[in-house]
Amino acid sequence: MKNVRLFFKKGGPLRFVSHLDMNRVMTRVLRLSKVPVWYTEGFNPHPYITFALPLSLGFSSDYEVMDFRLDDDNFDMLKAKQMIADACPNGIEVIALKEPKLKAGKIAFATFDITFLSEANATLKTLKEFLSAKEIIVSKTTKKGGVKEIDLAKKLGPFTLGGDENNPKILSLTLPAGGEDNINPKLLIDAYIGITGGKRDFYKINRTSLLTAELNKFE
Amino acid sequence: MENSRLEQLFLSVQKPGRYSGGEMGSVYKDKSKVDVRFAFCFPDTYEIGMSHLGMKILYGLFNERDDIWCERVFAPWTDFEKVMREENIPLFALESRDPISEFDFIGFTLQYELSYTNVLNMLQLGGIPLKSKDRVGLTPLVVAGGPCACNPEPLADFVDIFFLGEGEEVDLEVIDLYKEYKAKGGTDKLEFLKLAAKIDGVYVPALYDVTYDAEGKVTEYIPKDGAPKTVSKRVMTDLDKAYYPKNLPVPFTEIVHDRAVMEIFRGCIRGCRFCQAGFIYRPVREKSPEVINREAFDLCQSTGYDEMSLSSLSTSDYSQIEPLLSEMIEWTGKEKISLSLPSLRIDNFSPELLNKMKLIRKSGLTFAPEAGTQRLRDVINKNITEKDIMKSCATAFAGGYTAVKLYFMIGLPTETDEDIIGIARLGQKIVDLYYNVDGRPKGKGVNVSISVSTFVPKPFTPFQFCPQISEDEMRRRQQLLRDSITTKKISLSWHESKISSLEGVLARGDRRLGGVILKAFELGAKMDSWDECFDYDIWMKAFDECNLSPDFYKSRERGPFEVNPWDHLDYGVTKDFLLKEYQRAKCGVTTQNCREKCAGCGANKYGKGVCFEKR
Repeated sequence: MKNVRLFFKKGGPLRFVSHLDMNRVMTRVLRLSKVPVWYTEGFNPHPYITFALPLSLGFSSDYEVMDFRLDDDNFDMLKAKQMIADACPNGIEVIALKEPKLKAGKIAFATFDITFLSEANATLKTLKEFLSAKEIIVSKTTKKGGVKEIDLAKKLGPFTLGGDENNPKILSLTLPAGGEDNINPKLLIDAYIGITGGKRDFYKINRTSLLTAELNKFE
Repeated sequence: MENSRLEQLFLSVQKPGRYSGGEMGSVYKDKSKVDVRFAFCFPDTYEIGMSHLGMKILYGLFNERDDIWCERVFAPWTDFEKVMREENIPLFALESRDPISEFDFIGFTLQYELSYTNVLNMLQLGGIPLKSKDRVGLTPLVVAGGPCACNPEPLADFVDIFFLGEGEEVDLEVIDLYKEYKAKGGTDKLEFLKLAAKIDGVYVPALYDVTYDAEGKVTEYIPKDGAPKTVSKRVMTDLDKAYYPKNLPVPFTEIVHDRAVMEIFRGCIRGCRFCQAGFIYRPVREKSPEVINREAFDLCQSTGYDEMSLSSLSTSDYSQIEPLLSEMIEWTGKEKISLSLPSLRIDNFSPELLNKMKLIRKSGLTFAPEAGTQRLRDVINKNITEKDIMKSCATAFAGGYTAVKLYFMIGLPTETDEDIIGIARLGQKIVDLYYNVDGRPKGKGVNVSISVSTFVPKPFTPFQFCPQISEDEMRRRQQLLRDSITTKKISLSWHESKISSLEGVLARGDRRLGGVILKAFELGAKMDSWDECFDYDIWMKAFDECNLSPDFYKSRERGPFEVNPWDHLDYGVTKDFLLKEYQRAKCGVTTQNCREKCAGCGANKYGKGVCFEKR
């Protein structure tokens, strides 16, 4: 038995598939692939699948990380990668299958690209102003159901803005991610849309990478 | 609307995966290369529609042909419907996202009466005139099938063509006729409908005039333009040769029944007198174990499902259940597929098989005695005795079970208070039994859950003649039952009586109810089978405005010579047989099942199935 890590892109119709449902989708993908996957040995055998960091419903991703176990330690990894790739639905693109280097707990940051549709009323000028403010106070519901105010200006890493004034703008940013501190970019963008008076939901978020505390790629 | 904007709107509502499509196994074609586009509509949510086997069979069957592209359409939940109306998004098919108005056929499957307003809502969201007579062009043709098509009259104003019985052959025959008609340059809808009406199993309501007497009872159905006097349902005579999908659209998101489903037979030998499915799907026709195993294996291979269930009206009545399961347990075990067997009685199995059965994950322990006393069970011809239930429960408790679920109906014909109290008494006996079984789980209590629905008389059953009890009486009997239960070890749940009442009206309604359905829809009725959406007052207002009384349809005894709105349709069982069964019911006389003795229902005219088995 050996632990392996699958890296893939998630987009297309899979954007509308929640983290919980992704588990079921990937269970079926592994079964279809016929790769010798290790199954739990209980009454109801199933592959042991874990995702490094859940992805919010509606986001696409260039860098999804999923761990599972191979039953056959010597099974050719390149072949396994291809078999899984062939079994994936439209919307999942396999990048690599490797042995894991780091534990999932090492994830500290995630990077995102945000594309605004015209309905969002986003402009380079207002975006720059909004993101450069000394304080960006938003309220966030806690796990216990309470509401707390946080200052996103303190959480926001370096950002870049692309596109010209009249075309869809791309905002690239880095936010804390993982078990320690996790900031959903929707919090930030919804606060911004609240100011522009644009339509909610008219922006797309793509998670581009997962990084360690040292800003190295999580592998 | 352009796709990227539409997709952002999906994200503004709950469960966007309902609307996005693109599932594995869904079929995409080039629309310029097909001749016929068929929008298969399920008039309820994605999660419910995608659990339906019939849709998957027809979806696969149609799409096997290169000249047809069949796509799926579901009713949007109220949150997305609001967005669609605000943003002017017409109802679209999941695959192409094209508006349903662009399709040649819009086909609805009618699984329950309370989905009728959803049919209208979906047409309206598609920008399609609701009434058949207001759709003047040849397309889209609005067609419908499914069990409720056995009394299609309440929807007669809205639907162009009803398919009666099993759809595998007749649907394609109509599609072929359409292709041919269009190729010849035909554009006249009425002309096409007249041609279609010549096909067996096709009912075109517009080709029939209905007359009523002063009371409002139907007096006659008068066929026009060469339409047949009686329309017969279609039956697949050889299920081994019938199409079964090799692949299915597999949802990304969780649905109600999310597993591979294998049909093992159609029809039911039992003849429980309240059960419509037990009569309209006659005669019983089985698939062979070899074919079932092969098709089931293929289905698991292509879908990646790790769970499979067998589908039929009564799994344990499959004549070769032992060889079937023996083989099936073998390969599902190897493939790590969990097999679920709904409604299975294990008392007559061999010890070897019983041992193997232990490998199967058991769902709950469920019985459907339907009635609380043997007298009433005899009336409804439910062949289950208290002894059977006690024996099975004792075995189950000894094997570690601590919960049992029991299904009952109230409002059955001839029911007395004694029968209601009998439900509670039976529950209590099971509770008592638990504490007297050796080897029951130590230190654990027992839970008997009793689920009670309200009996609704349905067409083509022996009880099609009898009145449904009033809502007040339903409530009184529910209260009586509640008061009869004295232990907390029994939990009781029941259905909303008003919903059952409306179901009863629509089930045996005539053509005039089209006006009521339309009115109720205009007043806001939709998703009527959902407790949170159902609004009885709207319906009562609609009846009032149409000057029709619900009681006329549900609360009176229908005489043997009364013309029922479905009497011109032939589902194999004769009205004489149903009348005879009704008389026997009133006398508390049971009828043997089809394997024991032919009861002469009339379904042997199809020349196949259980009617010709050696007894």
